[in-house]
Amino acid sequence: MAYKPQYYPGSSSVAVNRRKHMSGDIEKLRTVSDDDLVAALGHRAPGADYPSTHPPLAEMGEPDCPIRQLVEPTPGAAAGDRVRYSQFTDSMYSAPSTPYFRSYYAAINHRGVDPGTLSGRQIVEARERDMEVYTKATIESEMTCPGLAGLRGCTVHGHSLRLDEDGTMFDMLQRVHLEGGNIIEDKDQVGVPIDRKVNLGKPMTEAEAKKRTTIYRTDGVRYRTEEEVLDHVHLVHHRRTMYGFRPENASETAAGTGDIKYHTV
Amino acid sequence: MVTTQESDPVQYEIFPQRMLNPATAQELLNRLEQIGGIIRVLVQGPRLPLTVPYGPGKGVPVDHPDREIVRVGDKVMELHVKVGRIRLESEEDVMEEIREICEEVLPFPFELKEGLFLRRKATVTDYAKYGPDELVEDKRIYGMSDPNMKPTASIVCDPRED
Repeated sequence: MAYKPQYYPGSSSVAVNRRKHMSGDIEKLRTVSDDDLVAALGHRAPGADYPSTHPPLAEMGEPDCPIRQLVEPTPGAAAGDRVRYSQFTDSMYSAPSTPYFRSYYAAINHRGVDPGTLSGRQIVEARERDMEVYTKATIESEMTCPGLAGLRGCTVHGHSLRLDEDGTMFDMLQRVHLEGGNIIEDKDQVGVPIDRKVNLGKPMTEAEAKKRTTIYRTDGVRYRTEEEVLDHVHLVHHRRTMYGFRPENASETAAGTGDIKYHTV
Repeated sequence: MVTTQESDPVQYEIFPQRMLNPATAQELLNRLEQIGGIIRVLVQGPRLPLTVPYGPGKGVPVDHPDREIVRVGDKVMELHVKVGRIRLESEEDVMEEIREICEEVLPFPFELKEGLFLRRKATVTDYAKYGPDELVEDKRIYGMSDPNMKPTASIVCDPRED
């Protein structure tokens, strides 16, 4: 039987969603056209060619290197694209994803991406066309609610603020707004107006956001109710502490030595 | 050392579960303004800048729809912040009046707290801004301004005695 990775412990909806984000088994909820996405990213004009920093690898004549022979370049690297970024912000009020799980998703499911994980934002740097593939997959899927998450290259502090009266995340630069029940983006990710209205679809209702979220919250799935996750976190903590401090005692948590019970404070 | 006395005004903080739209904020402030005995009102929240403050888009106009002009009583002012909380100081106990108004105006839950939210004594920054305490005529100015504000920012002062 083929090995099946076990991405995350736990049995609650939050744990299931975390496993889905990590494995890349995510549901597509909306469609954003390529040109709309390029406009929202703001790195080049929609329809324009990809600017490059070097000739295509096939024309360059690469040195004889076993690693280069082993690793197939991504389409962006093969074409010599520039490195560009996309950055997401997720509200702490039950947004579907979080910076950590966006990074897990990017690193596990996409090649040639460099995820940066911060408390309130998550950035991915990659060759331009690879970055666009990653961003499109993310923005069209259940990982992103247009009302509770956003493509924001700067001023991301809305993630930790209370929601607006209409239930959307506050944005100082007002990159998106509600129009006829849909979230419309009319600025690029750094707040420069674009010449089109990108329709990102309807924001999730409060109930749906709670169903799809990967955030443990006291008003949703409580972290302390998730015994398997707590047990696993305690195990990792114990092993890290013991291996760093008293390695001779670390064997007590080695595989096959029996169950060790950890108790939540 | 006694820092608070029975005769000191009471202070309240209204902390709604959602950030207020300008229309809701205006209605709430107007209703609060009608309560007798209110000395000071401070509106606090995240800034709404006129232009993108930093990043590649620095300097581009924002045109935030919440940066509206609101009328409170006979004063007209432009909101520079998204209203997140309102702090009030009153000469008498008006907690129940405030609670009633909030319950009527706000369609979502809110917290109403009594405590010390606006300072009464000058800090070193206040000394640098306004000079020695004995020379400051209206001491209600203390705690009413953003320490990081630009000299172009404005504070609405109503010199009424009540």
